[in-house]
Formats: sequence, C-alpha cells, structure tokens
Amino acid sequence: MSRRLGPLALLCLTLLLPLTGCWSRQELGQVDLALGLGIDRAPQGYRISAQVVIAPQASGGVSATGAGGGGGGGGITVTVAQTEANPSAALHDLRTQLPKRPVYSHVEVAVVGEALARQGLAPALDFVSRTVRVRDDAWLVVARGTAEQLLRARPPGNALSARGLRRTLEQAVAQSLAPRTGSVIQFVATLADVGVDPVLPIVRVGSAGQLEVEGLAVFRSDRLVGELGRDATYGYNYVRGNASTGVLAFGCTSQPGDAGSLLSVTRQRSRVRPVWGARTRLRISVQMHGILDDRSCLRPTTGIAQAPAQTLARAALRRRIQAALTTATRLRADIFGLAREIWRYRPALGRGLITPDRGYLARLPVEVVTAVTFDNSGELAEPIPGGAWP
Amino acid sequence: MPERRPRLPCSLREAVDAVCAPFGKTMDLMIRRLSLGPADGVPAALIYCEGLVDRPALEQHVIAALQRMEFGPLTAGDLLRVASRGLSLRQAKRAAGVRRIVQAVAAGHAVLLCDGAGAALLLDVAKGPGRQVDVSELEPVIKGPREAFVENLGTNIAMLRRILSDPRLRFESFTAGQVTHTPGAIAYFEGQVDRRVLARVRHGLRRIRVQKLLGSRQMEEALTRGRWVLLPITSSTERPDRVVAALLEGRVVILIQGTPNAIIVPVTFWHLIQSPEDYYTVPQFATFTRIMRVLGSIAVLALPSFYIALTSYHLELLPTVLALSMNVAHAGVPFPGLVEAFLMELIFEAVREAGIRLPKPAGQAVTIVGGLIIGQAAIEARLVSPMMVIVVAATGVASFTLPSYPLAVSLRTLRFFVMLFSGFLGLFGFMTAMLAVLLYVSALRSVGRPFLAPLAPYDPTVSDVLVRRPQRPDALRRGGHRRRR
Repeated sequence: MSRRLGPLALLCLTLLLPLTGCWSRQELGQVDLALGLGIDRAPQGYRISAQVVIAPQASGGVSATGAGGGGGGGGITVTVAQTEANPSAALHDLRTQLPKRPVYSHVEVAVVGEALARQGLAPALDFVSRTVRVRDDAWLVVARGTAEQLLRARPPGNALSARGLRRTLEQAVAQSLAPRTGSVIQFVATLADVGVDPVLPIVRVGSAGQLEVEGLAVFRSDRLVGELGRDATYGYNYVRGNASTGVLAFGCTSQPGDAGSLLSVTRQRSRVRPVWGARTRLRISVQMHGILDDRSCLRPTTGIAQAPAQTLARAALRRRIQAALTTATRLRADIFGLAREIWRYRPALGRGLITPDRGYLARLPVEVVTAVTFDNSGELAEPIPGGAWP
Repeated sequence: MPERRPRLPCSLREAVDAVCAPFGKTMDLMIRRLSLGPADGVPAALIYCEGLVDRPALEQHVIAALQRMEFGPLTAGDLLRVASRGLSLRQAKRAAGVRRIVQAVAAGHAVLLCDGAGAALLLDVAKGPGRQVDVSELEPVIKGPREAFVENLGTNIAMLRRILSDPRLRFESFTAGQVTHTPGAIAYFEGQVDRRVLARVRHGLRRIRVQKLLGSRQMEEALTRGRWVLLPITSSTERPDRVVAALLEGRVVILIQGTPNAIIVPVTFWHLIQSPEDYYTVPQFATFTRIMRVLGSIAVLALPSFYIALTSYHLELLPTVLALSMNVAHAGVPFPGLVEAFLMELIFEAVREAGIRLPKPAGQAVTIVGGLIIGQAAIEARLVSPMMVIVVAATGVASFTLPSYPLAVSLRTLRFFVMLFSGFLGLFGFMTAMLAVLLYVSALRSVGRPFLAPLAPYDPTVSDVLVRRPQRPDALRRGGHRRRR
C-alpha cells in the first residue's frame, strides 16, 4: 500500500504547495522599508507621514514631497505624507508616492503630533498597533509641533531622522531623560493598567536640525495634559527606576556659581509603598549608588567631607522627585501609580480613590525618602593642586 | 528436474575444449601443453588467463616443479594427487565440475588438466593487477595514520589483521554476483558484535540476487532492501583505522574484492559525523569540531531555506540595519528568493561536481575560478543578490565540514525539499519540512538500529556521542562502554 500511497501523498503535497501561502509573500527586493511613521491631526482628517528607505536602483519616479537623503545601508531616504479623513486611507494612499510597496514592520519610531496627543491617543494607538502593525519595541514619542516636521528633519551626521531619533532616545534613557518604557506596546499596557497614567518623551527639532528630548509629556488616560520640565523628568525617572545608568548632578555648596559634582549611577532601587497607621501616607523611597565623577567636592582643602556631600546629593535627588510630584499633582495625572499602590494592598480603598479627575493626588500625603552612597571615585589619581574648577 | 552439472570429460582434448569453450576465442586465455610422469608421460595442459596469474610463480612453483617431480608409474588420477602434494602453493584444489573450473580460470587460477583424470587441479597463482597501499585521499586527516584500503580483498584483510591482531577478529567469506562472482568478507569482532546485526547482515547478503556486483554501493543498496532511503544508513570508509574502531564498537564490516572501501553497519547519525581524527586530537578540540559538524549539518539543511523564508515572507524578523542593507543589495534582482536560491545552489552543485570529475589540478581551478567568477558575475548581472551568494557559500562550506561524503550529499539533496517548502509557505513551510525530516530521521533504522541512537532513543550508557571524553585505558576490557545494546 505504501508503495502507491507514498508517491500519491507527495504529489498531493507538491500540488498543494503552489496553492498555499504565496499571497502573503513580500520579497525583500520588492518592497521599501519604512523606518518612521508620523500621525498628525489635520483639518480634513489625519495626516500620515512615513520615512521610507528606497533602494537606489529603483528610486526613479519618486513623487516624494520630502527631500531625499543618503543613508539606510546605501538607500535613499524620503519622507512622504498624505492627508485623508481616515488614517487607513491615508496610509494606503502613501503607496502611490513610492516606487514599491512600503513595509512598516521595521518602523522604529512612531511619532504623534502634539495636537493629536491633546485630543487623545487611543485612535492613533489602535491604528499603529493593529493596522500598521509596527514592531512591539518601536518607540512612541510626541513631537513638538507636528510629527511630519520631526520625520523630515535631517539630524547632523544621520540622514535617517527615524534612526537618529531612536539613537537620541536611547541616549536620553542613558541620561535619565527618557523612560525605558517608551514603546508602543508598553504605552498601551500602561493605559490598560489601573491607577497609573503614562508619559512619553517630547522631542523637538533644534535650530541645527538636531533632535532633542525636551522632557516628558504627561497623559491623563490617553490625553496629553502637560509636560514635566527637566528637573521633574529626572525626578520621575528616579522614582520609576529608570536611572540605573543615569546621572545625578548636585552642588557642593549652596553658593551661587558652584561647579558642583556629578554622580554616575551604578545601581538604583526605588519603591512606592503605602504606610498604614495613624497617619496613612505613601512613601517614595529611592536609594542610589554611584561613582563620583569629580571629587572636587571632597578635596581636603577646598571641598567638604564625604558625609555632607552625600547629604547634598540626597537633597538634590529629593528636590527633583518633589518637582515631579508637584507637576503631576498640578496636572492631576497619577504618573507614579500612587492609587495603584494603595489598590494593591487595600483594593476597596484604591477603587474608591481612582476617579477620572485624579482628585486624590492633592489629598494623598506623600513622603519622600532618599539615600545616596558614593561607591567609588572615578578618578585614577590624586587631584592636581589647583586643578579644581574655580 | 534440476539440470545436471556437466563434469569434466576424461579425454584431455575434450576437457580442454570444455574449459575453453565458455571463453570463446579470447586472446588472454593461455593453454600450455605438458607431459607429466616418466618417459612420454601423461599428456597434460595448464590453462590460465594471462595477466591474472603470477607468471614467475607459475613458472617456478608449477611448471618447473611439475617437471622436476618423480611420478613413477601412476594413473592419471593419482598424478593429480601427487602433483597437488608436491606443489608449493597457497592452494591446490581438485575439481571435477566444468563450471567451477571455468570460474577458477576466470578468477585467476591456473588449471591443470591430465588426460584420463576426469578432474582438474585448481592452482592458486592469482595475482591480478593491483595498486600499492596508498594515502587516503577521500578521508584525509591531519594527525593519525594515512593508509587506505586498496582493491585487493586479501590486502585489505591483511591491513585489518595487522592493526587488530587479536584472535577474536573474524572474517567470513561470501561470494556475490551471478556473473561477476565477486568474493567478499564479513568482518566482526567476536564478543563485541551484536549477534542480531550479524544475522541481519548474513541474511541480507544471502538475499543479494544481482548479476554483477561491481562496487560497494550495490551492497549498501542490497542491505537497505532496495528501499528509497534518503540518508546513508551504511557507512563507507577507505580507512582501516576507522574500520578497526567500528569493529571494536561491535559493528559489522563488509569488504568486497575490487572495492577500496569497507562498508560499516549499522551506523547512526552520530557515527557519521565522527572522524577518526577525533581520537588523534585532544578531546576538547574533538568535541568542538563535532559540535561544529552538527551545526554544519543543520546549516546545510536549513540555512538557504531559512534565508528564503525570512526574505520572502518574514521581513520583520530581520534586524533593521541588516534588512536595510539587504534591501538595497537585493534591488534589481528579478527573481524571488526561491528561484534565486535554486539557481545559485544548482550552479554551486554543478561547479562542485565538475571539480570532482575533472583531473585534480583542473578540478581545483574549476572550483575556485567557477565559484569566484560565477558568483561575482551573477551579482554584477543582478541575477542574484550578494547575500544569497554568501548563504550558498556558507552552506557549501558547512557541507564540507561533514566527514561523511554520503551524508553531505544526502543533506544537500534534502535541502532542496526544505527550500521548496520555505519558498511557498515561509517559516511555516520551513518548520513543516524540518519536522518532516526530523520525523523521517527518527524513524529511520540502520540494520535494525535507530539512526539517531543513542540520543533517540536515549541510552545513558553511551557517552561518546557529541562529547569526546578522554579514553580510559581499560575501556575495551570492561566490555566497551560504547557498545550498543
């Protein structure tokens, strides 16, 4: 039986092959890879922009409205944009401006315009994650101005603004200026979480075309309600545990013009916990260990002793956390997930607290506890006499 | 009713005619007339094939010896008996059947016929054309012995006996091929050999019904019972040390006259990826190279298919930077990944085949020049992308890491099957095809032994599979920790 059945099965399988699967084929040479995707609110609907790398041999006939540039492994980068009432229709129409079918699976950064963010990100998120289907680790950022402007920018030394933007964001994370949880999927997860509001980095195009992370955009639910300044951004990242590779700058004295010192954080631990008792409160505790880059604070002649220096660093840390807390309270956005922490231990109490206007933020007493330890000095030798900054 | 076998006539003239008739008028059949015994003696004839007999031995040990002998008044039948005792030869047998006598002449024996005897004396003076023991060319090693088998069965047996001078080494003779009557030998190590495997081999050899047995391949196919087997379930080697190692592991070895290879059964996948050199180098390095070979075999099977699946269906799985550079490199190539891969793989196979068939210096030149120039030209003509050339080259190099040539050829053939599935179904097809191959290999048996043993089914007593442990001096005395169950 097997002698006849085997060839027959093989024949059936072979005949089946050409009938299956081929329609989802997307040959690498037949597509253009999009690296950045922008979504803006336009008077007529939505404006979708995409930064696409086009292979040079097939780049003729591009009706791109943006300037082309080198980069992308030898390809030409163009930014194309289309406005339609429906984002999906706009995305579909982008294809007419490109020589080949664009593929969005390599989108590294999804940018939303400020105006759209103020209206609410939910439709844009739905579009990005379900229609475009960008990668889970693609960054989501808010553009100062429009997303299209950000994608058309040409950062110095990098023709691909999407790649440059990603690099800028990664550097911002290393400097405690942007949260690690900046991807589309994490933003959606935060939105779905109870009792915590998300933040996203705000990026603007500098005067020289460079991309800069200005701070953090604060959302209440999916709507942009305000921003954290630089100090508050640091404070937010310290509390959220995003500073394990960051820095903490602090002054050695309270004198004006003090050059101060810089602590490179090597490890960090933070937690937000309710403290129950006669005076129930939330305690934010942040412990930081790091290497002191510059020991000018600790010089025997001009500086101060280690303990006072640590106290100053602790105070600087506390001040930034307080700045973040103050801004969050003012904006009525629970970016630290304070209500969630209470809900974890006392669900009934937590549920009662969580209201759309986040009014509980003004009522909740918050205690900030900080600790800073200088593990080591980054210097290899003793300081040169007179070598301290004036 | 069975046909009666013709016996040798008593008359010398008729006997000579009976022996020579099957050969027709072949020029290499020699008939030398002699006279044995006192006075005019008994007419006799010596028949042999020129070129197959050792002429000096024939002249010195047969003809001169016969003429020196004192026979006295004897009958023709006695003459043969006396002659067989008086000749200083390896073998002198009396035979009466014409068919046997004819076969002996064809096999290189000299046949002595006497008038009135009705029988012949088969004198073993065979010395066919043969070459000296040479360096192994197909299975070279950096360290370790270099000698390889030759076409002569006796020489090959002697080489094995010289390495493994133990009385437990046994050889059993057999003859196969209804026309060629090719002699062969089954070798095994008594006490180590798996009796069931030995019985299967004997049974398989008895079942061989081929007209002509010209090489080991036919024997291997006979052992697979004529089924289509996609992977080699016998191992062929030209290295005596490898055969000895197999014998000590309890395997059965088949040697065939005229073939400079020995067939080892049963074999497993792990046996095929091991090289004799593993035991001449430090264990760590041998283990590392074995792992490299396993990875190489996976690469041979999977690399082009995986590449096709990624570049034709699953672009999102490529790292962005790589995808960008590949996209640019791929621009202008008119074919889909599957066609591109088939094209390059077929060109590569053609170049490889040409390299083998051509004389050695020309073959190397063709391989290098063909590989470089065709690859470069294909890229410049935008026939294939540079990445595809890299993938094909990497696959080719990976196939060369496998010490077993038949395994490499089989995997290279199976690769096209996996490529086809990947080309039509993407990673889903890739996984389907790989799973099909895995299922097939898992179910495959070599002379009754699972092909993936001792890992599937797992046998914890066998340790020398992927990791080459340092050998203990008493490994054999303890019964051999590598012995199969």
